[in-house]
Amino acid sequence: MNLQNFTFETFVFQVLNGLSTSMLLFLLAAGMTLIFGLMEVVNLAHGTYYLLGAYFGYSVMNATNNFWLALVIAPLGVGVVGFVMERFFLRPLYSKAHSNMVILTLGFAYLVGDLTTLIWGGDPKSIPAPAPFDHSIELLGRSFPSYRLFVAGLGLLLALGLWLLLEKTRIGAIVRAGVSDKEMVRGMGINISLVFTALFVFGMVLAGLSGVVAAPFQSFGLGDDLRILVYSLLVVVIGGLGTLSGAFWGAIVIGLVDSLGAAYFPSFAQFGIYIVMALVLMVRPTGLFNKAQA
Amino acid sequence: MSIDNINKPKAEIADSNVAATSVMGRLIQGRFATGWSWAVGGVVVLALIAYPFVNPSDTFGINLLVQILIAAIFALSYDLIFGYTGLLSFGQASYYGLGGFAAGLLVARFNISNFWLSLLVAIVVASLGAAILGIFSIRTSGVYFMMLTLALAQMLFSLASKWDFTGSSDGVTFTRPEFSIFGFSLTDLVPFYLFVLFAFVVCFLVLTMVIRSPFGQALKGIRDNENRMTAVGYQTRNFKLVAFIIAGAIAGLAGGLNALSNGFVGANTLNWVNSGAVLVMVLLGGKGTLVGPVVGAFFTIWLQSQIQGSGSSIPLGNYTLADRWLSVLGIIFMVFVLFAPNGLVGLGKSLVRSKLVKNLLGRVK
Repeated sequence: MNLQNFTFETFVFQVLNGLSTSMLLFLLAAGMTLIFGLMEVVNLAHGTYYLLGAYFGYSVMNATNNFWLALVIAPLGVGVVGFVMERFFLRPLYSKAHSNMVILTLGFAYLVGDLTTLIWGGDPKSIPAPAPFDHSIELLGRSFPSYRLFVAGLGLLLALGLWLLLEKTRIGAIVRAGVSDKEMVRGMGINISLVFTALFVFGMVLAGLSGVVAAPFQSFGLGDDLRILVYSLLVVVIGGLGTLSGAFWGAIVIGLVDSLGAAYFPSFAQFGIYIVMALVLMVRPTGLFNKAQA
Repeated sequence: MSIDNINKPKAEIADSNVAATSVMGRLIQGRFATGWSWAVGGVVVLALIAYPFVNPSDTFGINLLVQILIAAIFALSYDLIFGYTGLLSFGQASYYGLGGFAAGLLVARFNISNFWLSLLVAIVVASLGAAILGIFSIRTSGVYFMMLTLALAQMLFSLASKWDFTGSSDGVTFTRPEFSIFGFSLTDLVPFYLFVLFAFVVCFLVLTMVIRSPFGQALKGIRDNENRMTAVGYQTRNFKLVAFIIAGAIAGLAGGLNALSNGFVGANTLNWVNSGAVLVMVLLGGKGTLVGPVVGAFFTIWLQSQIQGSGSSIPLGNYTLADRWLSVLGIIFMVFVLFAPNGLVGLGKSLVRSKLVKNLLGRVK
């Protein structure tokens, strides 16, 4: 344990660091948890969409040298891939056992992950931070990258937006109704298969967006799809599958544990998040914020 | 539609209806299939025994067969959990890795160079690991089960890849323990191959007995409808746990054999990607059968060696086909899930059922 240089300032600094990671994880996990809630699909290709977002962003950056353009175009491109996957690969499996869909998404993760290596090469890449956020600011006597503050802000903003969308709009009401009773929604004359497609594509756009957003402070490359997948699984499982607030708090927990663990227990950094998950699931087998206990 | 069929997908119901059309027909088909499959299995084993004597110079082929047989043992262990009990676990690599580390560390860290003891410790440690992780995992079900097995597996992986005792990211190299049977040294390729073949046959027979026992039938009951099994009075958690431990022990044996065959064990054996690989084998061959995982292991390892060997001469952009093994695996996954969910064995069965058996049954009538 590395406590010699423990000060209150560095602790706060690490917490801030962790919270910006949390917001990124929330962006990633929000799509996964909503898709599971409505469609009962566990998407093992979720990290692949994150990686695709980062690579698409990298290519748009190379072509236009405009980060904000990449931030818009790349997630939309990822959404198109998501549309193809849902329409042509997942749809035939809705009537079959769930494990089939899980396995299909894993196959998709292998294939697309490998194709990214073929197209972009496997060596780590990154995107430079965009103009107003490309420097560090003075914070508690240390320099803190302002881009991390941008990520935290963007994450909070999107969390708020998602919450409003889900709780205050007609579309949100349909999705929430679908989570609790699909047959009833169908019975009300709503085209649920269209809702499925739209939500899946939306979730993949969010995953792609988190890939672009993360690219300026986390290099990406071969194997990151599966690494990121494990992170988003941990977040949704700790929070409780299918709830947006669960994904939010789960992301906070994992982001903080990850950041503080890396700072104070550097040799066992990764270990901490698994311990937290195992502990949570032992106490509450369906996650911290899931009201419906199995 | 009877109550039994409520939770089954439609295709499966149709399937069972076809098979149940005539009791006599089913009986004949069963006898026919069982008798022949044992005969074919015997011939295959004899051919495998004969292979190194016919082709003693083919060390590449014999090495490949060692890998295939070890993978087959591993795949068989996973099928007990996934195919027979219906639990989609992503943690089977943990027990494979635990077995490998137990066998290797006994030699490298405790200086006990004993082949049998290494294998025994591999089995014991892996089944203990399966018991402990199983107790926690089995409390959950469905998706949570899948993710908990994955997280626990990654926990072991990240521990092993950071800990000096387990060689951190470099792994542990050790001298393979000397051992001989009837004067043949097991560190030589051919006797080791024959020993692995023997271990494989034993595992296959043990699992056949497990599956046919009332315990095995109960596992299938849990797979098909766990609520019904609970209602009938089974403590399904205990059954799942025992299945976990048996599967863990066999995976540990496979991991131990793998470590002893290479004189090396690394953290990567614990990676959940290995659990994914064994899932491909079971799925490709046919889940819920014992022949399936073996066929799947054979096909997967053989295909991998072919693609990574001769595929290097097939260009693909800046790369060759040899670099694209993961793409091939991914495509296999998707094609089989979409078009042949019962794997190669399922395809074979439906072929036999459609032509051959119908003709035969026609003659019997």
